[in-house]
Amino acid sequence: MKRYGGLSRLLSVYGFLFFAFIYAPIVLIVVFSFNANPVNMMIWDGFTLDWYRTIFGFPARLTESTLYVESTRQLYGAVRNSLLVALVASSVSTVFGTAIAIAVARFRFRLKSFYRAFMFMPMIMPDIVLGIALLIFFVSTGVKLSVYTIMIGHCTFLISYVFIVVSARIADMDEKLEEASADLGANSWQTFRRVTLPLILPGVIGGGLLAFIISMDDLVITYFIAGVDSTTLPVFIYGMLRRGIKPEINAIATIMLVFSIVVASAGLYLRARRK
Amino acid sequence: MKMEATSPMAAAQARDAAENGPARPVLEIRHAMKRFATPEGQEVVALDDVSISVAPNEFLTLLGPSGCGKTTLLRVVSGFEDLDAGDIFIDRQDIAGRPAYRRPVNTVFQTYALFPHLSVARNVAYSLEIAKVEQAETRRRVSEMLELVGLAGFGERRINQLSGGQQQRVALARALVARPKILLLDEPLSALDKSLRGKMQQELKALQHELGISFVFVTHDQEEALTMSDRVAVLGQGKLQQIGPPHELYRTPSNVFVARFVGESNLFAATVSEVGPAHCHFRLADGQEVRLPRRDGQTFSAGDKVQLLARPEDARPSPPDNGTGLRFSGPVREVFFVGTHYKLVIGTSEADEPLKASLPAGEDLGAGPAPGQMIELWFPASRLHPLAGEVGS
Repeated sequence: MKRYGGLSRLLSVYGFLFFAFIYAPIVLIVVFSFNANPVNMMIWDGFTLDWYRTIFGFPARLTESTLYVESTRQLYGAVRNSLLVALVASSVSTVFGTAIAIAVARFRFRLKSFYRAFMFMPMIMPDIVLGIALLIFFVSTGVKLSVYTIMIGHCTFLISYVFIVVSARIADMDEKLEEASADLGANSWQTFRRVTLPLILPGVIGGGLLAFIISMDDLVITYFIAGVDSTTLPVFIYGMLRRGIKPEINAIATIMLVFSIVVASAGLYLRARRK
Repeated sequence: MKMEATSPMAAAQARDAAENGPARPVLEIRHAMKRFATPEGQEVVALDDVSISVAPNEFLTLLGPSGCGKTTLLRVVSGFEDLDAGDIFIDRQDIAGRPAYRRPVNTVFQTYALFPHLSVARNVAYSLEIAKVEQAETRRRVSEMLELVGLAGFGERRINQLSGGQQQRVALARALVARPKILLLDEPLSALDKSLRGKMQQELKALQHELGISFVFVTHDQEEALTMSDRVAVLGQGKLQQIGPPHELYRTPSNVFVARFVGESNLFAATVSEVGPAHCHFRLADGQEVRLPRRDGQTFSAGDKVQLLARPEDARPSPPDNGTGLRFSGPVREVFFVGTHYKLVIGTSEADEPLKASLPAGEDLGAGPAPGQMIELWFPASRLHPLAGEVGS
C-alpha cells in the first residue's frame, strides 16, 4: 500500500471531486434555501426560513421582490395535482406492471421475448417523442387535456418501470413454490394471494414507489399533456423559472428532495424488514 | 420418527382386500404418451406408451437415468403436465384434465419448495387452511404430523433456520397432512449427505408402512430403489423397460439396459447353439459352452446373439470339480477393499470389457489379490441369466 501512497491519495481526491460534482449543486440548493439574501443567492446574508414561510403562504418580510409566489393557492394546486396524478398513475401502473411481469415470467405463449422487449420500449423512448405523441393522440381523439390525460400519459411509461422491478423479483422466486401450492390444493388465485404476492411484495412496493417518484418528477411529458388548470409541481416550477430564479424555488426544491428521500427510505426499510 | 402400532387406514385397506379379493390399483397409468419440443425445434419423446399401476399401500419406485421420463411421469400424475395420449386413473376415476389442485395426490419436491415466508407450522398447515379445515383440527393435525416426522416443537421456526434434513421432514409433513391417496416423491433425498440419506430411506419406508399410503418415489439411484421399494419400474428413453420387485430386476433383468442400470454387471456375448425342450445351450466367442434352463417367456432360437449376465458377487475363486459354468482368467488390474469384499477388475481377452468380480474378504484371501497377479474365476451356470440383444441396444 505504501508504495502506492501517492496514487492512493490521488484516487481519494478523484473520489472526492466525483461526489462533489454530483452533490454540490444539490447541497447548494439546500443551503441557498436558508439564505436570507433576497437578491444574490451567492452571497450569504444570514439564516432565514422566510422562503419556506413564503411558499406556505405566511410571508414574513413583505418586500416587493420576494412576493414571488403570487399565489400560494396556485402552488398548492400544483402540489395537489402532482400527488393525485402520482398516486393514481403509480397505483394503476403497479397493478398492471405486476400482472404483466407475472404473465411474462410464468406463462408459456408465443412471441414472449418480443413482448418482453415491448415492455422495455417506453423506457428508451425519448420523453419528448412520447410527450408529442400523447399530445397528438389526445388532441386528435378530442380528449380535453386535464389531470386525467396526465394520469393516462404517465401510466404508459410507469408500467415499464414497475414491470422491470417486479420481474427482477420474480426471477429470484422459485417457480416450484407455486407448483407446491397448487399441489396442496390451492387454485391460481389462492396461490397468488398466499404465495406469489407475499414473496414478490417487496418488488411490488419498490416498483410502486419508484413509479410514484418518477411521476411526481416528470416534466417533459407532463408539459405536453397538461391542461390549463391541471399544472403539476414540476410544470409550475418550470413556469416560475421562466420569470427568473428566485429563492423560493430553492425551498420548494429542498422540500421535494426531502420528500423523495423519505419515500425512497420507506421503500428500503420495508424491503429490509421483509428479509 | 414416532410410530403407532397400526394405522386405521392400513387396517381398513387390509379389510377391504380381504373382502374384495386383490386390492384394485389406487393409481393406473395406461399407454401414457408425452412429447416435448426442445428449444432447437427437435422433438423428444418423454413417455412412450408407459403403463403402470400402483396398488394400495405399495412403495413403487420409478428408476432411470436423467431424461428417462420418470419426472415427467410424476408431473403427469400430479397434474403439472398433460398427456398427449393415454389415461390416468386415481381410484378408478379418470383425472385427465383435472387441475393439480383438485387431485388427491401430494408431492415432496426435490428442492422441498417450502414457503420461505411461512413458519414450519404454517407450511404444514397450508393445505388444511386452503381446505378451510377448522382451526383446532388444523392445529391438532399439524402437531401430530410434526411429531410423526420428528419435528415436534419446531412449529414456530422459520424455514431458513432448519437444516436440509429437517426441511426434508417439513416437506414430508406438509405433503402428508392432507392425507393424499398417493404421495409422490421427486428425488427427495438427493440433496442430503450419504449418512442422512440412509437414515431417511429407512424412515420413509417405515412411514409409508405406518400410514398405508401408496408412495411413488422417483430416483436415479438404483441402490436407493432396491433398498426401499416393493416394486421398481425402470424407465429408459421414455419406455418402461421393466417393472417388478427389486430382486427380480436384479436377478432376471428383462434386457441389457436394466441389467446395466440396476447393479453392477458382467455381460458376455454368446450365441444360442442349441434349443432343447427344457434347456438352451449358449456358446461364447472363446468356445466355452454352457447349458441353462429355459425360463418362461424366453423365445430363443439357434443362432441368436445374446448376452449372458453375471453379477460380480457371483464370481467364485475356483470351480468345484463337478460344477458347470463359465471360466475366465486374466491379470488383476485393480483391487478395491470395501470391508466385507474385495472388488476386482480383471482384464481378460474373452470379454470386451474388463471383468468385475467381488470376492468375500474371508481369511483365505488374506491381504487380497495383488494387482498384476494372474487370477482364475468361475461363474456357476445357476447364476447366469441370458438376455436377448446386443450390448449397445
